[in-house]
Amino acid sequence: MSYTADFPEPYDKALGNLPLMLMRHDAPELFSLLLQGGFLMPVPEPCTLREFLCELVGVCGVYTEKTIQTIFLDGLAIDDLDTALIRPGSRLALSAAMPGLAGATMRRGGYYRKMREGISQRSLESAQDQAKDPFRLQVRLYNMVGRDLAGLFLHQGILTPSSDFRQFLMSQPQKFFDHLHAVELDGVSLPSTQESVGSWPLPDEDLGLRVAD
Amino acid sequence: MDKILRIDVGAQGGPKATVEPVGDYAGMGGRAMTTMVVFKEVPPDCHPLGPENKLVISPGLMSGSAASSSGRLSVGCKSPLTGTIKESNAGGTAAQALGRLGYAAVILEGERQGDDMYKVFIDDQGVKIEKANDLKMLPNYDLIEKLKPVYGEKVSVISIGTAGEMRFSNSSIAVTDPEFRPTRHCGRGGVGAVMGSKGIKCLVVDASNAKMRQPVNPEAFKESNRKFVEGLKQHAVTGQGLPTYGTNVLTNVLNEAGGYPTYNFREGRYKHHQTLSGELQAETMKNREGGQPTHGCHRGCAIQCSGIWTDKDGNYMTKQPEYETVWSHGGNCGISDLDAVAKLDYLDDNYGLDTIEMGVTIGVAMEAGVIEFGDAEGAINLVHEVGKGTPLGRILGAGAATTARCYGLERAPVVKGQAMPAYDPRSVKGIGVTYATSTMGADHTAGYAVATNILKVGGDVDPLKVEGQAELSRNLQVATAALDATGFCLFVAFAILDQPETFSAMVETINGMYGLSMTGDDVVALGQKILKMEQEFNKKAGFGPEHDRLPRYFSREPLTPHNVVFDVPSEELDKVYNF
Repeated sequence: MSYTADFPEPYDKALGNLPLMLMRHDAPELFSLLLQGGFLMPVPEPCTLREFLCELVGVCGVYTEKTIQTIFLDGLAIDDLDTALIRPGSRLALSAAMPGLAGATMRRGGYYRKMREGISQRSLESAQDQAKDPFRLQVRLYNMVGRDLAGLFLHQGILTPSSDFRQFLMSQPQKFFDHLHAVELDGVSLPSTQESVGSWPLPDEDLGLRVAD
Repeated sequence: MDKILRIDVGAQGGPKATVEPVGDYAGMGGRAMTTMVVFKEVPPDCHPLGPENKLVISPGLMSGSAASSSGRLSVGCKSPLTGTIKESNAGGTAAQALGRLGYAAVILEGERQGDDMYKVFIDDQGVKIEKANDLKMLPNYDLIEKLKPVYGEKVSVISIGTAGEMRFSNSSIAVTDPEFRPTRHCGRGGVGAVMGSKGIKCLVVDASNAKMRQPVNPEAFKESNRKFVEGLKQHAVTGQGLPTYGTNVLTNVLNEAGGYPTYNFREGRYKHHQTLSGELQAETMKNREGGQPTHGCHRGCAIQCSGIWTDKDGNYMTKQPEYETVWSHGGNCGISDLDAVAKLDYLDDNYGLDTIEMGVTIGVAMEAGVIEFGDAEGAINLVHEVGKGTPLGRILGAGAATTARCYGLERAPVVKGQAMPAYDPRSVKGIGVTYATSTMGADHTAGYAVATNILKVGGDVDPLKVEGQAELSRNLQVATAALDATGFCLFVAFAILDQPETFSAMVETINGMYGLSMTGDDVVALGQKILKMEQEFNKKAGFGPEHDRLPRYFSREPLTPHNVVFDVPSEELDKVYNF
């Protein structure tokens, strides 16, 4: 995916006023294992899934229709982006098309969707009926979607538990750090080598993370 | 493929080979061949380990040709695990080798005399059968090491491990891969026990002097095969998802759906799913020396969904464990370590065990308190018990249903005695219908996502109506039976499901090979014929509609997180075979 600006202004510039880490990394797809584990993203108010993807993340059009083939919202399989409602407490998972009959069954609008009728989303609540308060959405990005969209989500900024982030960094091979050019935590530069990760003064709780090349 | 090799294991002086023309079985291959031979030649009421049962080994119709992804080998018999008819298939190199040598089937039959074990060598010069007691009770990897200096690494081997020799109801038949490792298995239904009962340790197939099978209409074949490969490559699942992540790409998604059976099917989500995911598996293989996340189980496969798993020091551990294996030994048992799962996968392959049945059996044993959920070392020890044939191992080696009976448990996730695969039927009810009604016992591959939308098997089904699960399952089972006859890997299903032109290219590839003008209707007719023979066999073996059911507790115990039960009515299940 291409970017339109260097660190564009996200909806929540302060990322929840959490300690903010900025990383210069030119292979955001290498963060995909962090993104499969789940992260939070600030959302200004309840909206449809299409609005979230297109307006907040910047994923629109062909990619949404062709590649994001398997979507779960609160554990329910989603067929229609325009009726699926993102609201406080929601948990969203995005995936490409999956193999197997189960994969075909879970697929958005797929021929075999009837086979999972018990776990398909039926609610047609409207965003209009929801309180217009900001909230944090739990997101998981899986497989090819994780690789493809890592740059966009990380560009916007995500919230992640520091412990998960540190564990992720500690498990990365040298290759990951070859693509890491600079690191800042709340405006203070940190060394960007693999060996230095253990000494980074990460906060005890959550942190905001933004990545650009 | 115009001949059949019959090996009478009860002949005077030791097993005797006879080669005969394909005769009445002309045009049959893969599951069509195994089912027809068992249907015609095996008494349905026989004991699966008795002399009347036969083991039929058959390459698919396209195996041995240049058709992409066509290396599936079918094995059929009456199953020691289920008591029903059985077809179990695997990739690897043997189907292509048998196909190139012209064999439509190898049939092991008769009553074994004495305790000797034999090996069968097949090449372009004929068949040799030798006593092979030096191979007795060798696990599969050790067997291959012993065969290597004799036959080299270019041959294909079809073999049983210790589980098959001990005639355990959970025992597989191994097929070597392109690296000459026994990693591909006809796993389901205890087919290895039938091979063991015939006293045959292995078949060594050398097709190095045999040419690739030539199509009747070379130009049409070449062109349609090109389009077929193009279709496979351009599809998101066969061209990207499977080569990148393998089948284990499903772990995260099934978990998200609440359909990932955990702790012996007690819960639908596993909190440590990320540590077992295909994404992590692929990254780990890329970062370890010798690891390979993209690999074909046989030459000429355009999908390349397999892989090679190495340990932290770069030593070979096993092939990339499949989704089913990672689930059965991992999430189902509360084990969250991919290296432990890889070790279990290796042991299953080595002793010759079906990973689904073994993992589910260990889950049942964990529920019974034999070991704790999450105890990876304990699970590894249990598989060793099976491989060595200790008293406990013999119970576990008989499968999940027997283990549950021995420990007085109701909660055995089985249908017709066969363990359920990695999709909880309460969340994905349509798959539950196939588990319940398949002629094979609980089987996720019996009703695959095979182009029923294109084939229009039994007419159109409105996907928006709640009713009709039976009809969908029936259509899938018919289409899958036909595909199982061709030798094409089931994974071509996704490309032919979504791309009608790829489905046409596949059918045209078959037509080009055989000089036929087959249509989708003929494919449906073949699938129906296979299923009818299987159902008829099962009926005569004592199976009726009352056996086409899931265990009651799936209708009684809600599954978290959706708190759903399996509620497809029995009347609906009974409609599956209305055709």
